[in-house]
Amino acid sequence: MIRYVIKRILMIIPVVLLVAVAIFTIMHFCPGDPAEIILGVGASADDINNLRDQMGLNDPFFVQLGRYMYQTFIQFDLGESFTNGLSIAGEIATRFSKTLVLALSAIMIQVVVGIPLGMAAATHRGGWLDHLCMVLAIIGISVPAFWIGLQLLLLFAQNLRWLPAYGVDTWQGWVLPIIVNSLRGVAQMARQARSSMLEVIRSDYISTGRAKGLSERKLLFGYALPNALIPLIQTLGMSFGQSLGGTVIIENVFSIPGIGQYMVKAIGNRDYAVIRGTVVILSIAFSLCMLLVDVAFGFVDPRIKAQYTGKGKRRRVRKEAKAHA
Amino acid sequence: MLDTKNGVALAEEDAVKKQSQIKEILKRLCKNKLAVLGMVILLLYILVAVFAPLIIPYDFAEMNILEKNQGPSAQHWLGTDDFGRDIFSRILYGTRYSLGLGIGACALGLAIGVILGCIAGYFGGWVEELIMRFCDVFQAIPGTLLAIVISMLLGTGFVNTVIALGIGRITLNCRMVRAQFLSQRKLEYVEAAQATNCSKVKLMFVHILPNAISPLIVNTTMGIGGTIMMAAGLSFISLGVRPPLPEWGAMMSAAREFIRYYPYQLLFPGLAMAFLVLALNLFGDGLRDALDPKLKN
Repeated sequence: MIRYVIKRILMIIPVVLLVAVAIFTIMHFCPGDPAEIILGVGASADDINNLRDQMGLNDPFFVQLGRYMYQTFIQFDLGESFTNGLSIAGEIATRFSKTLVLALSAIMIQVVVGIPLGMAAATHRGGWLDHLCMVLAIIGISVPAFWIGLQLLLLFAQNLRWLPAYGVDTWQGWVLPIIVNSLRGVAQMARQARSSMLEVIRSDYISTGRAKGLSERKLLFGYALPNALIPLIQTLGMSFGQSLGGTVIIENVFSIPGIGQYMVKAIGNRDYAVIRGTVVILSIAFSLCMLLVDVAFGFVDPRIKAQYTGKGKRRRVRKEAKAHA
Repeated sequence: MLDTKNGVALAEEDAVKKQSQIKEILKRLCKNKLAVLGMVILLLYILVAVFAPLIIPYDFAEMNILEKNQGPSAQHWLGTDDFGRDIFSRILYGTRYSLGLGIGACALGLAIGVILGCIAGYFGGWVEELIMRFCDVFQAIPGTLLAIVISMLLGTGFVNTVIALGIGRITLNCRMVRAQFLSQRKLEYVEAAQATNCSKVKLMFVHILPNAISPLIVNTTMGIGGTIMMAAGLSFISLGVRPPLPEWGAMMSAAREFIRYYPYQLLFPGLAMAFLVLALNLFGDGLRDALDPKLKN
């Protein structure tokens, strides 16, 4: 097991580095000269050129890339914002907790609400509960998050005045953003949980258990549930990425000072250093989460672990394919 | 002589088989009431998009300051916006942009993803390794963020937004095709085709790919809805398609300023989008069940 975990950790390192390279490269070729953006439109060509020299923007691309990678991964320095000269890493550090609360709470609600909803739908297949769950789920994935967010703001903040319209200084401020950010994930999770549970319920070992006279309750929670949960871990990991991306827009709807808001402000100002920094940090967070998911997978599903131990995953897969053929 | 006769007979049999399979799928699809509902709504939206210039009551760009910010009335069914433009007309015309963005981006992602996935799955070895590691990297960036970064690179506008949204879908399709190829490439029919000197391109796209097509169809149908919403999200944070174009996301982002006073300006484009995405999801769900009857029962 330890071998498997170490292998997965080692595999994540090149991915994270390459993500940073990819994002640096894309942002490098974005239109607009950072020096010009910093100095404003009125600056003289000489001033701009001097600043470009100072920032190292006149160096060849690979030199710049190397310097960026060194700063980011050795010195843990994401550079400074073009617009106010503040350290980006510092700014992200103060904002990160808000974004994390938003993304993690979305995941938690998915687990607590989505899975039971899907399970209930599966065990009452064809009944009103099933229909209700699926209608809710399909509506949940069909409405844009920011739109429903604004509608809820209108209802609860402006008309009913139950909740504040912006800011998260009090707990009431968190209610709407968390609900809105989790909506899509809950819907997806409920659908996934339903189909996963349906598949398990129909398998032979459940019928055997029933034939042997096990109670429905024990059958459901003791035998069906653990197996039905396995595919859901993957869904959970993917939706963490989704809700991280979602926070970018949600934070703007509800004026939450998180990373997403920082990023959108930077988009408006064409502050490339900030955008680069935020995207890299959020991507690393996502990669780490996927790593956790994979490790969790290894613990709950021995089949996955088996692929990694022994002679390595790829050869195994080929062998299996050959055996099938 | 005998061979050609056999060939013709086989081809005919094949045609009958193919037809009956499509018929079978359609039959199963039609049994699902929700899927039919989705299909009907979707067709309506497509008709609106195609014939938009003929059916809109007002010019979608015509400003009329005297009639600005009116609520819904007999004249302007869904009211007017802050430039006095008819919202109903703009929503109808905007179907072209939103649906176009969704379909365009998914088609782009499908085309490139399928080609890359076929190459990776068929050739294997270092080619596969290269393509799959490339996918790993791009999948490590959450979809919305990738779209934002590429949208920054390319700038706003319809075509650029299609590309920005499409790139995220490439890795998805690529992975799916490759996974299907892995299970197919050692089967007898592939070997048989190789033995008859079938060209690699033909083998990949004509013989193997059709066996991998059904998850792609379902995924793309569902993906169009998600892409439309992501496009709206981009417009909302001032990337993507910008006002004054009547794309729904752009309309919503413009209407956000007036949400306190004229909430209907935000409400209607959102509803239009929600119904379209709902229809796509219902249809996609039905399609999945119809294509894979094992899942249904």
